[in-house]
Amino acid sequence: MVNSGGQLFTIEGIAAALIMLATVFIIVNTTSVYTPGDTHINDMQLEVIGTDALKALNYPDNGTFGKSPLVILVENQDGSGFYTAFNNSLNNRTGENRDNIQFMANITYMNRTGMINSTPLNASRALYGGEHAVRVSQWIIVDSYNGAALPPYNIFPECLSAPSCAGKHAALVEVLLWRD
Amino acid sequence: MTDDDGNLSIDFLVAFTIFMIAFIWVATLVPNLFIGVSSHQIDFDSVAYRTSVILAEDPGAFSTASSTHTRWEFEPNSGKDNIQRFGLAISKETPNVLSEVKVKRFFDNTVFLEEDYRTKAIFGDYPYRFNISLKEEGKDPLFVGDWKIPENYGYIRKQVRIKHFSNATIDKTDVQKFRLNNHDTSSLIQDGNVTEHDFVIQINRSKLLYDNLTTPVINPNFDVAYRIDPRTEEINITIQDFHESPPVGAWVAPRWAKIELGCVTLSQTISDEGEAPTQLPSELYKDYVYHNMVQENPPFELGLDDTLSVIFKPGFFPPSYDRGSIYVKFRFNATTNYDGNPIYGLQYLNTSQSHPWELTYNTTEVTQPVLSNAVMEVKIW
Repeated sequence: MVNSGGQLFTIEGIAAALIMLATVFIIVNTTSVYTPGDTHINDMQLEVIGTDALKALNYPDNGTFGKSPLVILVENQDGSGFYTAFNNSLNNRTGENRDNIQFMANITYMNRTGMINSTPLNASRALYGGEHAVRVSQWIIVDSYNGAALPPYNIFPECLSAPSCAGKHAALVEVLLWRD
Repeated sequence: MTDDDGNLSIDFLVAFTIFMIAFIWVATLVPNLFIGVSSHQIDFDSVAYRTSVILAEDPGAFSTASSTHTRWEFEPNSGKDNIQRFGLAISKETPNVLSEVKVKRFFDNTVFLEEDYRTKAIFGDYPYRFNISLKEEGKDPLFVGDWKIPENYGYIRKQVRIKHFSNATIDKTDVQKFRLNNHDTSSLIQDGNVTEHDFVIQINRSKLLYDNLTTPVINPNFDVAYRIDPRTEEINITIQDFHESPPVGAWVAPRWAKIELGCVTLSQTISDEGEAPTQLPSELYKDYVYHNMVQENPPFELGLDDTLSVIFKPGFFPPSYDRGSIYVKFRFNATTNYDGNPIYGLQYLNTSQSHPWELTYNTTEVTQPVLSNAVMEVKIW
């Protein structure tokens, strides 16, 4: 005679199977799988926007003026001017709403002793360390001694006297971008 | 008694059926699971990126096999199939600097259909839906594509600059500075006694396209973003101040005079070797004279407070020539005055004794091309 040892009772089996499948279905549908492949898209978008904003700032407004707005802002050490121009360009959209990308900008250059120095330009808010930021940069050529300013001064603080650091210097404008 | 070896039990059949149903269900579920990961985000975003780069950094491509034009933006609506690829940049050397002409043409969705944008800007086998918009500072946004955008789409935004046309005004200061009137009334030439006054404007292609923009030279890599290019851009020159009378040598008609613009002719040289200019056929090159900013063909009477303009639309001049000069010659007739007497000794716009007025990179005479800020967004789904 057939006994019932080791048998799955049919009704319970079906019920258990349905419960398991339903559970799996619900779980899979309610969570989105965030793969490393996805993060690079957000990074790429930030990078494109940041690079373009710097590039657009680095075209002179017209042919005779010669210097781009970015170069002028750096030469004049105009941090608030940079904030306005860059923020305007960075968060500009075709629709009504503006974007909300945060940034922190530095200028990196070689000083008189051959050391690499970095000075802050401006930031929309401080970087605390938890943010996932991307970095964009743009090389510029600046007149390192601003004789037109009153009083004349050196753009790079490490240059001690005017003649020693007069002339054209290359500098790198680096910007960290992140979203809150 | 029958033997039950090799029989299938009901339990097994039930279990197998349930397993198969579950298996089929899961198998159909799996591809949908990954749609969120692969298709929407990765593919749409990369297509949006590609499209934005094509538009902002590429000048476009064009099949010259069956067309007389050299640039896609000048191709008439009927020949739009010759356009291979849209691209709004003015050149490959200046990414993100867009041409005003191309922008205007690209966003003209009365001419281009969605299919045109798909095959010439977006590409790909899949029939992507799209929304491409551009907003220039201080202007209304432009867009093509669907305005109803779903929740999930590929997106990219690009900061761009748009190059605007130059324009020039010839007024009292130019006339005094360059002596653009018939000032020699005392010598044997006696050009003060003429009744016909020829005034010439020179558009020197060689100088505009190949000379330095500035002295000293500033970054020549970007020159194309600031060039005045008579082949691809609108040239707009206005003459005004006909009522002004400078202290030294009156160059304008006195109040009692009657001046008529008799005719305007175009001629050109195609090299710098000093050949005589050949006249451009007036039946092909026409409708560029504007009287008080309204297009009007001469002859017409010119009032003292009027403005006289020549506006050459982009692509007006033969595009294949990049050397030599274009000359615009105005002939003003001072036939009779209101007393009915002929006018002799009248000083007027006249370049027979001076160099033609020239379109240059001198900012005091010519408003140079400027770059304005704009933002472009591409959405693909």
